[in-house]
Amino acid sequence: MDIEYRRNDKIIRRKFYQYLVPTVLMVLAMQFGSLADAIVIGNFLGDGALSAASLALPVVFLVEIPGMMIGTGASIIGANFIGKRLIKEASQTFKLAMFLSFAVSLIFIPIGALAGDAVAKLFAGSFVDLAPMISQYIQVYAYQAPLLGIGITLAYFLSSDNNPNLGAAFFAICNVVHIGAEILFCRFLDISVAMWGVAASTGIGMLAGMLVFIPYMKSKRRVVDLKIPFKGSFALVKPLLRAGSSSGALTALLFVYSLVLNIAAINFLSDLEMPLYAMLTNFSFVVDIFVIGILQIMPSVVASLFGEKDYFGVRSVCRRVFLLAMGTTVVLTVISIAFPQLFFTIFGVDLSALQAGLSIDPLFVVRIYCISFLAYTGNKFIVYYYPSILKNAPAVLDNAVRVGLIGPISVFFLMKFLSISGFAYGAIIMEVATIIIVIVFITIAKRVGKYTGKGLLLLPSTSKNEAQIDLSIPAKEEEISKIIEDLQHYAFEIGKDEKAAAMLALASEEIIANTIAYGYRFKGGSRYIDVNLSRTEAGLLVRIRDDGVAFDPTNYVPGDEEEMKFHGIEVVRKVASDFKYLRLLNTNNTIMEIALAK
Amino acid sequence: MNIFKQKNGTTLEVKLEGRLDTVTSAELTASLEGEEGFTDIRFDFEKLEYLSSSGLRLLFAYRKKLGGKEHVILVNVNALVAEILRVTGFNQQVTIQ
Repeated sequence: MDIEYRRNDKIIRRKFYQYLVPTVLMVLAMQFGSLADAIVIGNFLGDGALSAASLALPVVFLVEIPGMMIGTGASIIGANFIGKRLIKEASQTFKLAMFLSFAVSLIFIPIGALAGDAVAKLFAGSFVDLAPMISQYIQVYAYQAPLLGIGITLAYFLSSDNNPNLGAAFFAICNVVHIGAEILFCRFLDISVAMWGVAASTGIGMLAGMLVFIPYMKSKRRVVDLKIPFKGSFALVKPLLRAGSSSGALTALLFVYSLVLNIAAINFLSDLEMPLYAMLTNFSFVVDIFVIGILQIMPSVVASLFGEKDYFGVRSVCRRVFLLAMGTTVVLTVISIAFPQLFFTIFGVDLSALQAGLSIDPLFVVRIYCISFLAYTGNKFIVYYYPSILKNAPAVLDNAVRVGLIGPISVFFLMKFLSISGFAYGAIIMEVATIIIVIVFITIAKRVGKYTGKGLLLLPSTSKNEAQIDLSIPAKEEEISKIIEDLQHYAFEIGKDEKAAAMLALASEEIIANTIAYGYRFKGGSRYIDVNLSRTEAGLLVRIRDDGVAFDPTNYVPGDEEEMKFHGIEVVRKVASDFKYLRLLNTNNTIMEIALAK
Repeated sequence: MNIFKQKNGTTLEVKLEGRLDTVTSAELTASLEGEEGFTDIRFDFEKLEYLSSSGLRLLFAYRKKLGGKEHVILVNVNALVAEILRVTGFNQQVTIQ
C-alpha cells in the first residue's frame, strides 16, 4: 500500500526537548554530590584523605544495601498497590519499609563500634597512615546507617506515591546540605578528626532531605495514610524483599567490586599512585553528571511510547538520546584527553609530585582511562533502555557482568601486572567487554526465539507490517478532505470492511478537525498530527496524537438541546465501540476502536 | 464535491456527488445560503460517497429551519451512507425515501 503521509518525529522531538532540560537539571542536582564530595575532600584535606575516602568506599555500598533493597522494593510494590487504589496495603508497605530499613541498618552500629578499627586496618593494608582516617569514616558511616536506610527508603517511596518531584527534591537538598556541611567541617575541623565530619555530612544531608516529608504529608496526591495500623504488615515482607532484590544485588555487587579494587590498590600500588587511583575512581561521576540526565529520559518517555506501541516514537527518542549522550561523552573525552591536568586541579592532587616520582606519566594514565568513557556511556544506555521496553535481562546482565565479573577480574589482574596503568586499561576492557557480552546475549536470545524484534533495540518492525500504519499528517484545514479520504482508504486496506472504514474516517475527522480548529489555533510553526491505525481482534484501532491545547474529548458534556445529540463528539461515541483519552508526555492521545463486521 | 441544485415548486432539490466532509459541508452551506422560498429540501445521495458529522449537522440545521423531519427528504441513499445514518441515529431525524 502506498502511504503518502510518512510518519515523522516532529511531535516526539518537541516533547523530547521539553523533557530533556528539566531532567538534565534534576539529575545534575542529584548527581553532583558524589563528584563534589571527592573534590571537597581532595582540595581541603589533601591526597591522603582522598585516598582514605576511596578505600572506605566498600563500606558506603555495604551500608546502603538495606536502604536500596527495601526502598526500591517498597517503591515497586507500593506503586502497584497505589495503582490498584489499595490504600491499606500501600500504607502498610510504607510503614513496613521505613521500619525494616531502620531496624536492619541498626546492625551496622555495633559492627562499626567493635570492628571499625580492625576493618580500617584491613582496608588500609600497607598504607598504615591512612588507617585512622578510614576508621573515622567507616565508624560514622556505620552509626548513621539507620538514618541512611530510612532516608533512601523515603525518597524512593514518595516518588512512587505520586510525588516524583519530592523524590528528586530529597536528593537535591541532600546533596547541597551534604556538600555545604562537608566544606564547613573540612574548613574548621582539625585534620586529625576531619574525616568524622566528612562522613557525618552525608547523614546531615539525609536529615535535611527528609524535610520533604512535610510537603509530602500535605500533598493532595499522596495515597498513603499513616493512620492505618501497622498490624498485619509483616505479610508484605517477602514480596517487598523480592521486588527489591535486583537493586539490593546490584549494590551488593558494587560492594564486592569496590572491595576487590581496594585489595588490588593496597597490594599493587605505591604511595604516589594511590591519590591518582583515588582520583580515577571518581571519574565515572564526571560522565554521570552530564550523561545520566539525558539517559533518564528513557524510563519515562520511551516506556510511555512503548506502552502505546509507538515503535517509531521509541526509535526516534532512542536515536536522539544515544546521539546526545554519545556526543556529550565524545566532547568530555576529547577535553579530558587534551587537558588531563584539569582533573588534578579539580581534585586537588599534586601533579608535579606525581610526575617527579612515578615512572609512568600520570597524564598518560588519565588519558587512557578517559578512553573508557564512550563504552561506559554505552553500558549506561543498555541499563536505562532495556527496562524501558520491559526487557530487564540485558540490563541485569550488563550490571552483573560489568561490576560482578569482568570489572573485578580485569582490573585486579591488570593492576597486578601493570600497576596504576592497569587500572586504566582494566576500565576500558571492563566497559567494552561488557557491551560485547550483552550484544552476544541479545543475538543468541533472538536466535533461540526468546527475543523478537528488529536489530539490537528489539522493537517490532512497522515498515512492512500491513496490520499497522503509522503516519503524520499536516495540521492544515485545506487538507482535511484528502487526509480523511486517505485514512478511510488505509482503514479499508487493513480491515477489508467498507462500513467500518467509513466509521473510522467519520470518528477520526471529528478529532482531527477539532485539533486543527482549536487545539493548534494559537500554536505557531508547522504542526502535525500523528495517526496510528492498526487491526485488533475485534476491530480497527486508531490513535490520534497532537501536542496542541490539552483537551479530553471523552469528558465532553454536550448541552441538552436536541441538536447536541449530533455534535461531533456525540457522533464519535455512537460509531466507536471504544473511546479513550490519554494525556501522555503532554500530548493529547485519543484512541478509538471501530468494530468490524463479524 | 459537486453540487447540483434545482427548485421544483416549493421543494429545493439538491444532488450531491463526492464526499460531504468538514470542508465540503462549509461549501454546501455557503451554496445553499442564497436559496429562498422553499418549504422542503430533498437531497439525492446516490453519488454521495461519505457523510461526516458536519454534514449531519447541516441536515439537522435544515430540519430545524424547515420545521420537522418530513421537510428534509433523502433519496437514493446508498448502503454506506445509510449505515452512517443508522449508526448515528440520524435516520430518525429525516425522511428517507
